[in-house]
This record gives sequence, structure tokens and C-alpha cells, in this order.
Amino acid sequence: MDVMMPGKNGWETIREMKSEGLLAGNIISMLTALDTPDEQMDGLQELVIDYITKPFEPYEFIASIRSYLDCFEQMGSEGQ
Amino acid sequence: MSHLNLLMIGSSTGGLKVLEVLFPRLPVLNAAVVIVQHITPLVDKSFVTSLQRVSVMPVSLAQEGDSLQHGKVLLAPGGVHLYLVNNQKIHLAAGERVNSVCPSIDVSMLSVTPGRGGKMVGVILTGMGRDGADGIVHMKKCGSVTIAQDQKTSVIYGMPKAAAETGSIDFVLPIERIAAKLREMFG
Repeated sequence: MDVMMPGKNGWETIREMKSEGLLAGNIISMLTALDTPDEQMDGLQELVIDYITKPFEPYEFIASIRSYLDCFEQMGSEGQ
Repeated sequence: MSHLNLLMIGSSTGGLKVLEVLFPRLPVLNAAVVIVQHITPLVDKSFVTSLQRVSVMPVSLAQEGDSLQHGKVLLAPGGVHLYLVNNQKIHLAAGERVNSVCPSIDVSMLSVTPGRGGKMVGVILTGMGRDGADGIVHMKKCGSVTIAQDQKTSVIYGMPKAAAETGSIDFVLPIERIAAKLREMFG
């Protein structure tokens, strides 16, 4: 989820999705141009498992996402 | 186990990445390990599985009444607060969010009691906010060695910074050197 998006930022989007019950069992990796902690994350820490600062190398990003997908494949195989 | 050694680790955003660097560098420690990671209930078991892949110590999700044991790692489940009872057993309880999170690192660290001869270490790793800052002050007062992750190796330098600013942190270290310090103390 990108932090800076047109119209509605990433944090607002997450809060809206959370309030509609769309994020149960999900984790979120944030993409941000900010290199300092963003206080808008307050209250969403349990959902946001990673915080990737731009610019980033595509291979690092893919490796990161792969590792989280591994995590979720295991979860799916446990039938949760 | 009257002289239980205790290692309590608090982490948040970026925690999995950082713990996956820390745990492959740790042998079976002569300490009970408790991790409080900000996490949701449906993801906590996957987090345990991910951590177990890189840890020689057995990792499991903490359950009510679990006894702390040297060489074993317990992860606080999502959605409840984890308390230590006399530094020996786990108590889990639902409750209000503390520092906007549940489980809260402060809640768990504030439940620690003085070590009665056992060595204790508190560690604050990457994360947003200041959860863990009050807890680490308490652990220091209880006789713990206290460690905060450095800025360079933190995904978010929020919680470790808040902990360091309390003045109760003994060591601010990159994650690889945190592993070395833990081996030195509990290896």
C-alpha cells in the first residue's frame, strides 16, 4: 500500500478497509517516500508488517513480498 | 526453576524482518524467551511458523498458564495482552489497547518482577510509536540489562528511539550485535 496516493492516502484507505472488516487475516507492507516514522500509522501497527522506503531495488521488494507470501501460504495450509 | 533467566523482546513494524536476522545468530539460549510483536490474531500462527524456520529454539504461540522454560521461545498472541506471573508463567487477558496496540509491549514488560538471581534482558526492536518505553524503564529497575536496536538496522526508528530517550537503555546496537550480546549473556 502506497502512503501517498491521489484523493485518499494509504492510512485512510487502510482505516476504511479495516472498518469494513476487509483486512482480517491480512498483513500490509507500506511503500513510502518518507524516511521518518509516520504518526498516521498509530493504531495500525498490528496490520503493518513492513515499511519500505523509496527508492528501493525491485529485487529487494520482490524478495520481501515472497517471504510474506511464504508466511501466508503456510497460514492457508493450516486452514485459517 | 527459581533462578530463571529471561529475555523479553518487543517489536512492531519490521519485526519479522529483524527477527529473521536475529534468530539465525542465536544458539539455544540459557534463558526463557518471550516476544511481544504487534500482530493481529489471524496472523500470529504464521509469524510463529516463519520464526521457527530460522530458530534452533522451539517457537510457539503463548497460551494461558504456559510455564517459561530456558531455551524455548513464546510469542504473544494477537488480540490479547500477555502478562508474566512471578516471571514463571504466562497469563493472557483481553483488555483495552495500550499505546494504541494489543498486545502491548509495555503491559508485558511492566508485569516483570525483580529477577531473584536470574539474569534478565529487555530488548526494544524496530517499530512506530513509543510502546515499550515505559516497560523497559521498569525492566531496568528490576535489574535487567536493556538494549535498543540502532537506527541504521531498524525498519522504523520509533520505539527504539523512544526507549533510548528514557535514559534506561544500557546498549544501543545494530541487530547483529544484539545477537552477539545475547550470546555473551545467555549462550
